[in-house]
Amino acid sequence: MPHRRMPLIALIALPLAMGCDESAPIVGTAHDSAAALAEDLRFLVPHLSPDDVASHSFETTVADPSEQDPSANGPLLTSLDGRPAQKILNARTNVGFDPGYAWSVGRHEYIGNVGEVSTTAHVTHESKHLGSQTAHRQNDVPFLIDFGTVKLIWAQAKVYTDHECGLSVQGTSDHKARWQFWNGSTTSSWGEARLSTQASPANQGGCARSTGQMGLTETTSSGMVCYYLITYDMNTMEVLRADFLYCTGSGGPLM
Amino acid sequence: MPVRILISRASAPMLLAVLLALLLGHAPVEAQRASPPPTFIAIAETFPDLDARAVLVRERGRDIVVMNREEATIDALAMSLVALARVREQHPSVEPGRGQVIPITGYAVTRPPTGDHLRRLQGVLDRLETAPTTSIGSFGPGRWVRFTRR
Repeated sequence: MPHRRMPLIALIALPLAMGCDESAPIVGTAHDSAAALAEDLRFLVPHLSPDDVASHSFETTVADPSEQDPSANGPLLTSLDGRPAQKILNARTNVGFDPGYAWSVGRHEYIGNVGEVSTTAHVTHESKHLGSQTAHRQNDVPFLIDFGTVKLIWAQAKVYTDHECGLSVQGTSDHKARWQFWNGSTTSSWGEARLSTQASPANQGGCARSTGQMGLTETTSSGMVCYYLITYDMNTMEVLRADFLYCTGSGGPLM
Repeated sequence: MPVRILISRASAPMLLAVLLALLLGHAPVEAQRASPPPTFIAIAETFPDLDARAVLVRERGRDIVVMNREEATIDALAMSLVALARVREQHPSVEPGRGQVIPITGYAVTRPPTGDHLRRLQGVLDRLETAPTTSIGSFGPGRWVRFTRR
């Protein structure tokens, strides 16, 4: 009696086990029926703007004394209150590749108690724009203790990549310096100095050509693609994390 | 009243096979990570102002590729799937209660799809062309199809 029931149990249990396997091939019309396709594809994503994803800010409230240029001379000009006028010195942008990422650094020296720099790394492949990443930094020194010393500010934008050939990076930067005073309720700014710089492109070098399709019957495409990855809470739509721009170059069998 | 389960020596292998099948079918999620979740391909009539050429949306249990109607091409689809494959390698699963939105800012095809690969991609676009217009999540009206796996 018991061994007679075993085959029946197997017939019942095995389909149940197979039903949990979502990797089973999906062929046919079950998921492509007109009724199924007429359903809404329901999901929600947070509202995002280009600035939300393409820009990363670093802000300090007090300039780091170690960033002051030791070779700076004294005040170059005088203003009404005895402080020198705002000024930008030695502004420049540099770009390059380090293992794992492309970078753009914007830096300048300045006079004024507020310095700002934004730098953007633009990644291209054979002159085709793939993506850009911006970094921004602002340094503030309280007006009452800044008498016009020359300070240094810099920011670095990174674009991460797992590719070692074919990419180029260009950099552009905006440099600012100004005097700013906060009286406890309002902020007064005057005399902003502003300058833009850019760097010549840096290149990884060309990629070696592939030797053929290796006899595969299924050919694949390959290329480079850049993207951001933003993680959010599905209940509150709050953005929890925004990763830096990432560029990958690959080709492989279709999923 | 005690229950006695009688198992003959001849039926023991069969019973073992049934138990093994049940265990494999209900393996932990981690063991099933090798199987990617269902993938849906969509074209949105209105694309968000994100400086993106396509957007991937990942939730626990499914992945969605949303293309801009004006850029719904073979290359865009191929590169979106390349990006999705790479994101899956880096993040095999999405945490419960969380989602991932992945704007694709740009791509460059170095070797265009050909052969069976091209036919499969074209087949997806052809199906999208005839799919009815519904709602594509928070993107608004659009069309979608399920990406059939091998």
